[in-house]
Amino acid sequence: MIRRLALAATLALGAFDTAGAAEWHPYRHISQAPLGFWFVAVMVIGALLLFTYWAVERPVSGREASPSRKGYHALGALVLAMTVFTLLLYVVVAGRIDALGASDDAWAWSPGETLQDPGGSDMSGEPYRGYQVYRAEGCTYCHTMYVRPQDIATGWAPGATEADVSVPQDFANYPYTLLGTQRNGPDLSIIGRQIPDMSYQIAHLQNPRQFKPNSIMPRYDYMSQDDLQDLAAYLVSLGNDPRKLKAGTLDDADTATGSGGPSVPTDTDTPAAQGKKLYSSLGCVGCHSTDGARNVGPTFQGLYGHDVALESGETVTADDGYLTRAIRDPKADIVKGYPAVMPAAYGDMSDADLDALIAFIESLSDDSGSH
Amino acid sequence: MIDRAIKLWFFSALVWLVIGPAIGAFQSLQFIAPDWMNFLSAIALPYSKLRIVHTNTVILGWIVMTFISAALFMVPRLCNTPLRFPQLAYAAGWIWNAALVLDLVLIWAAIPDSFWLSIQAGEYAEAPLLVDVMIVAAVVCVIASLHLTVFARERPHLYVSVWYLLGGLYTTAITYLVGNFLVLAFSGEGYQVIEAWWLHNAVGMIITPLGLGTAYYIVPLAAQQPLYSHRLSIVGFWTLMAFYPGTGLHHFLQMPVPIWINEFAVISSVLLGIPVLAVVTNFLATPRGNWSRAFDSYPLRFAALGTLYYLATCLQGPFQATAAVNWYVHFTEWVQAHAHLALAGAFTCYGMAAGYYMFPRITGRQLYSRGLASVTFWCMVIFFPIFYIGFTWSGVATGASINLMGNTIYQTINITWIPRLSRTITGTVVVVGFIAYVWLLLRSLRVGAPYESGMNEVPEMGIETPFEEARA
Repeated sequence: MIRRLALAATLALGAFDTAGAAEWHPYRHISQAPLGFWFVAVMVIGALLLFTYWAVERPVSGREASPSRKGYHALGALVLAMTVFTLLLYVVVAGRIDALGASDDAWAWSPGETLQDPGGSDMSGEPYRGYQVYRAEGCTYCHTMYVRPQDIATGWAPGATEADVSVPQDFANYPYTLLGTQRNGPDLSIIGRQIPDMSYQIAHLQNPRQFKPNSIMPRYDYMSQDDLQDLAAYLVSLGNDPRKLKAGTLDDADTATGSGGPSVPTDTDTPAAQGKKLYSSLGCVGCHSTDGARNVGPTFQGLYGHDVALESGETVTADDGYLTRAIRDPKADIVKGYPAVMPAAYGDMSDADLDALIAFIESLSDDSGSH
Repeated sequence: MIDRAIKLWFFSALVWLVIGPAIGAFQSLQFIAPDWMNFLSAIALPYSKLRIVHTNTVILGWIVMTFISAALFMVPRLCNTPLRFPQLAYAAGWIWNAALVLDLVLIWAAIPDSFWLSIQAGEYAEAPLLVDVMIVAAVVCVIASLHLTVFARERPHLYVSVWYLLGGLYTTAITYLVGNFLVLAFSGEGYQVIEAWWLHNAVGMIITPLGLGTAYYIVPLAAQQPLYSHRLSIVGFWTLMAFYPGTGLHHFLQMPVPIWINEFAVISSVLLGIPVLAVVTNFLATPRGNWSRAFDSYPLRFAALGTLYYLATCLQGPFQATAAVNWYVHFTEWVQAHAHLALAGAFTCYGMAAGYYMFPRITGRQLYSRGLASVTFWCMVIFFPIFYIGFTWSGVATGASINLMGNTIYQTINITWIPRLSRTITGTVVVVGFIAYVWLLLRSLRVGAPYESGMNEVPEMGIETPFEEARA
């Protein structure tokens, strides 16, 4: 019933819409607003400003005079029109966004669908139910779910590219949205692409400071195993093409290189500069810092040419051979004190990209020239 | 029965005032010493849920309940007739309290997939649908009782407080219906657009009219001066009602929606300057020539202080809503600080002004301690601004670190703990001030001197002039 009314309102105001539904774009400039918007806005706001002027400036006989009864009624009708008009504007926008439908790679998980952990464990979970858990646990009060255009070059969205900037079609399959207004923690739009590993997500939910010593996130170790797995499945589903996830053919390098935008390296860059762009576009930045800070993985600062202690008890020197092995086959050598969660999919990158990335890591060591 | 209804709403609000802000100050420790807070996870109540408890308790518990008690007190006096159907208002008080308790229990329970019992996705509209039905029922009961009183009034002219309080209750019901029920008709990002309409109107169409209506009653009576301008008060009321509803999307300025609807929200926000300046001018001009009354009247002190905070918050609001500023402060604690300036600053001051004014008149007791009343006042004067500055500082530092210096949020924690520590400490002092206020009132119930019409709220202070009697 309400939906029908909203649709009727949409059509009614849409009659003034000179741009036409086909050309309607979410970022449309204000100059392209429907004619009805301008008509009613100018009429109502103008009338109210006139009223204000009249009420303040009109001559009065006594010291205190108030509008007549007729004036009150006219005023009330005017304000009511303004309020209803405002709500209608929002309803129209909301209705038309709904009508846009979903894009091909939008999040699309129905109730009951399960996701097999792409990180290699035999766990699975229901992303849709995980999304309900996400709401119930209040995750949205510290984490947002959308990337703005201006986030790309800043610390708001490490690893995100122009292709990750949110559009309304991304959210079409959600019955309700949790975009969020506050970022006490990182945006989670592409968390599943950065760390597609349910074991890590669950371990991090249960004890965040195990991986990030300065994290201020609460522990979610009280949740049931079902809730944790569903929530982890939801996190893994974020930023990944649902078709690939369902088919079990997830390929991180593949999704990251389709990015476009300024992060894609060019041939004219030095290898280290190319590597720096890859560091951002491939999402390394999500787990490895360049300033010495401990993150999910070891920092890249001062890594090259120095000794690394492994879980196996051995110590190796971080040279070209070690770094190549660490990227091509992350499970081969596990650094002591860090979880074995690095995705294996980076192993598919080209030799040229790999060399550029190693050149970038090398450039972050002070004594890199001495090896 | 009339007194019981007013007292029920009034003292319930005091209970929520003890709980809500204290939870807020306590949970802020999560930002500086997260390991101390691990025990909260053991009882399944981590920061993320506790924050919902904090906002729901403060808004629905303290602020709205105290203003509804003020409406039940003021509207019949302004209409010169007793409250009609006080049983309805009394029952509504219990429904409201029961709804809030149920709300808190369900937030804690965090049921993920129930239609009636899961919390909702909208900020401030988290109350599950079952609770929403109870709250709407309670508001309808209060509206019925008050509107029948207005229909039976013995004065033809409606003072502006009646406009605000009754109109505010209607917009409360309407806004609540939109934010909790109409929103269900939409999915995807459309849900977020309607939710944005609710998000700011929860402040603008629920708290603001109720709070301003209360202050319009307190200021002339406490200052013993006629209202500066009735005409201005009418301008303020109608422009508020006209410009407020469209502002919501300024919370999502960079969300992927048509730019023109965002521009509309920003223009609406800036136009709010008209009602704000009308109201502030009226409040600050009314006691002119009689400001010395502030030495004797705590209601006047709090109403004036609340007006200063209201002016500050309403100048800051349109400023930060413009795109040029918003890109810098969005997602940071600057915005939360702004919300605290409005709710913990301006409207809590109005609530306390109403409390100091109403308490002797509904209980027949004067306040027992002038010193403690001064403590509550100077706490709001001195420590609240420091608390607010620490809060804002955290937002500014975060904005600089992430937007300009390219640090990630994780790296920014290394600097923001300093303002956050300041926020926790001064916030705790402010909360102590709130608790002192509640203690003062509850203790006065037992040991306060008897109050009779014409006396001051506090003994050994200047007496009321016949101005009040002339009105009543």
